[in-house]
Amino acid sequence: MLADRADSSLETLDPANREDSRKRLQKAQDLIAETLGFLAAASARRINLDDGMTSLAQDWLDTLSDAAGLPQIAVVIPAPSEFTGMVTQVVRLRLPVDGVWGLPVAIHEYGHFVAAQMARRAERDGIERTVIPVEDLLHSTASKEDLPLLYWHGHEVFSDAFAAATAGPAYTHYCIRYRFDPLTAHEVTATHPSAVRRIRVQLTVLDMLASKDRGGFLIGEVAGLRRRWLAGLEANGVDPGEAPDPQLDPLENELVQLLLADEDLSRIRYSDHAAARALAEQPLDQQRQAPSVTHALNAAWCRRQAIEKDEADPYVIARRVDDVARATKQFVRQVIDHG
Amino acid sequence: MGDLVLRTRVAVARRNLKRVRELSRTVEMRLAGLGEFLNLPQTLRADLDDAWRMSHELEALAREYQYESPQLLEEVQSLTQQLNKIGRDLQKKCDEAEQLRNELVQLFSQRRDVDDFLLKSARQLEPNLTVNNYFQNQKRIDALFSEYVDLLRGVALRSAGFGDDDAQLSDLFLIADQLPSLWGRVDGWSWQSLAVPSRQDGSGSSEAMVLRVGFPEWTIWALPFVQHGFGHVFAKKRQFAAPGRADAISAAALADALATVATGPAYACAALLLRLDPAEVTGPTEATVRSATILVTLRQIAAADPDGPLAILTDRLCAEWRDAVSTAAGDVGAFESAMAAPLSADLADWARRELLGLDADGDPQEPLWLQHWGTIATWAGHLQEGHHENIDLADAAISDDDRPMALAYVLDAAWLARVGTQASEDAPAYAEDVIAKGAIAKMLEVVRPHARPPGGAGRAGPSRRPNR
Repeated sequence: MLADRADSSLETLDPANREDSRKRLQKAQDLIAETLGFLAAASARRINLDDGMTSLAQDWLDTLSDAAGLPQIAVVIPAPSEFTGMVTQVVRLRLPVDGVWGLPVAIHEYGHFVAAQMARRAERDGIERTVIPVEDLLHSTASKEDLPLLYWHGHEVFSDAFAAATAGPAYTHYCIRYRFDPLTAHEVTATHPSAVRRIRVQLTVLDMLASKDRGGFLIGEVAGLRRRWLAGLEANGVDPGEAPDPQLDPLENELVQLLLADEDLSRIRYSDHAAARALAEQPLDQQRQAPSVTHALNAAWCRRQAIEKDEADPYVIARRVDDVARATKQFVRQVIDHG
Repeated sequence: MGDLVLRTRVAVARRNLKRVRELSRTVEMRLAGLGEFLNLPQTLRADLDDAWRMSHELEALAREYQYESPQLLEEVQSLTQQLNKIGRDLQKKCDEAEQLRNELVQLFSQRRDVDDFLLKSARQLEPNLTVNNYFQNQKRIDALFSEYVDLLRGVALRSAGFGDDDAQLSDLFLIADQLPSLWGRVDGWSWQSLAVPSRQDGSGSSEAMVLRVGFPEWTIWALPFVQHGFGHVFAKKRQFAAPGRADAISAAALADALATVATGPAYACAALLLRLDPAEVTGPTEATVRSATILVTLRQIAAADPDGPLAILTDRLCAEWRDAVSTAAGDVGAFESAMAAPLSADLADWARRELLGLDADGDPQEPLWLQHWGTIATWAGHLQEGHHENIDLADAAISDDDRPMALAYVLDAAWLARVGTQASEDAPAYAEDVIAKGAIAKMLEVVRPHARPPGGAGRAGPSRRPNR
């Protein structure tokens, strides 16, 4: 589709208009670079350079799309950094991968895609039409405030909230342990809000899930996550609070409300953390079917934390955690294939 | 001065001790009568075979006249079909009678403690009882008789087939007999006595280690009280008493701490919600010390995970009990003092050290039921939804251990299905029977794994809605 568009764009190229021609050529070159990158990534995936993680991620995202009644993404490929192409619908996952621990990042990237796919019928100006609530909200807020940054930050906040709501604590565990550096927790970039805000929105969503989760398991898990994050900040002398942002704060709140109110997405929302705990209580190779991939991933974190609590020797911990990761990966594959 | 009073009493005591010695014979005679009754389906089956043979002969004869009288053949064939159906029903009854007979025989043949302790005591006492030592032995004799009566009454009740659609009393006590095996062996000894229905729960150790489950609740909800009774037996075997205190209140509180460690929150729920009287929390009373010890024991176990589900459940039970004490005009301050007192903490600590084993740092390990709390919570969900068939007992398997831990897990799951970590999770009143029925069905699978599903405790079915 993009190639066709570039092709027709070049067909009507007017050599006299140098500026326009330069732009069109640049676009075509970008497309070629993108295509080459895609082919390289696809090859990398084919020769299992990513240890099979992107194909696992893609199969998982497909099951979620089916369950939520959403279209499937085009493809998941390994890449130098994470990114979701909204037009191509290609989800890129960063190499090197962190094994199953990093798998929930695919849900965050999928969140960008979902934001553009969440549609509902609504009456506007007396006419019933399809609206894309998240995209509409982000566009309208960003243009009203004349702050394009708001659009990108809002997108990230929504995807974080979506990942926490769908993958449960497994996503936040990964962010805290592997991704977010407490020392730079207040840093804001052109595309991403601060880590403090991103963790805050995740914990807000998890708190909401925990209040409805039977058995009290999620309440304890979220309290543990909060403790760990705050301890990391405190150890580095970093202020745990986020400065108020009059634009992004209300937007963050609205996005969370939109996410949790969506009926389709409620079908893939994480719940029943007790089931993950129950999975973690038995060796994974002796398990029957897991309720879902998400439960298997959260069970892996439960096991990992139990190991870290029981063991003192860091080498033993590392070995046992690797064993859990390997067993979980096999188990997730089984759940996807037979689930 | 005459000794008529004493001589009379010694004679009565001896006669009664003889009765105690003949307990097995008494029970055998009772079982013999019952055996005849249980043979009835088999006898009827033989009679039915005769009728069935005659109906076949009649059918052959009617076949010869089928053209003259086709209706005759149809009628005879219908008769044969009815006899076949009766035969199938009767076969089912024969199987059930056989199972009941086996269980009753096992009731005494496999519960060796009755013979080993009660009868032995009677045998020792009877020949040596004289007018000179009667009063020294009177207390022990009374206790023996009381136990003898409880046993007979208990066996009679257990074998009478009382119960309802949900569960037979005999099923419930079959489960109760197995609960002390969750504790493992105590200094190489394992309990092989009986649990019997009684007016009151066992509050002290008995000669024959008989465990009494008191009325008014002979249901699954009261099963944890068996563990309190066994707590007394355990403490006696380990020769432990509360430090510096040998009174009945401390002994009961120690049994509570042990029962809580061995069973889990199911015991705390049963004791606080069914038995202990909040109105009696008026100072350092039994209700005060016992309720505090139970909750302190749970708190100590939950301390390793202060935000975890057990900590939340314990806080809730604590708050509910405090409210109940306040509503019943009890003394909340007395309860708080007992919670803070060293006695409850010491008893809880001793119970944990005795039952749980120690880790490398010398601290008590996590109880098995807490290590499986996720499984238990999942089972609680199945029980509350009326889908006990989704419970896979294999999930409760523990390696290198033959203790039937699934009994404790199901008991905890049943209580957790009834009382959640927060009020919104509590089962509605109409679901309690469904939970109980499902839990008993699963526990019976543990105690008699190869038997048919129990008559009344099959699939629990969906939750019943209250009649409007």
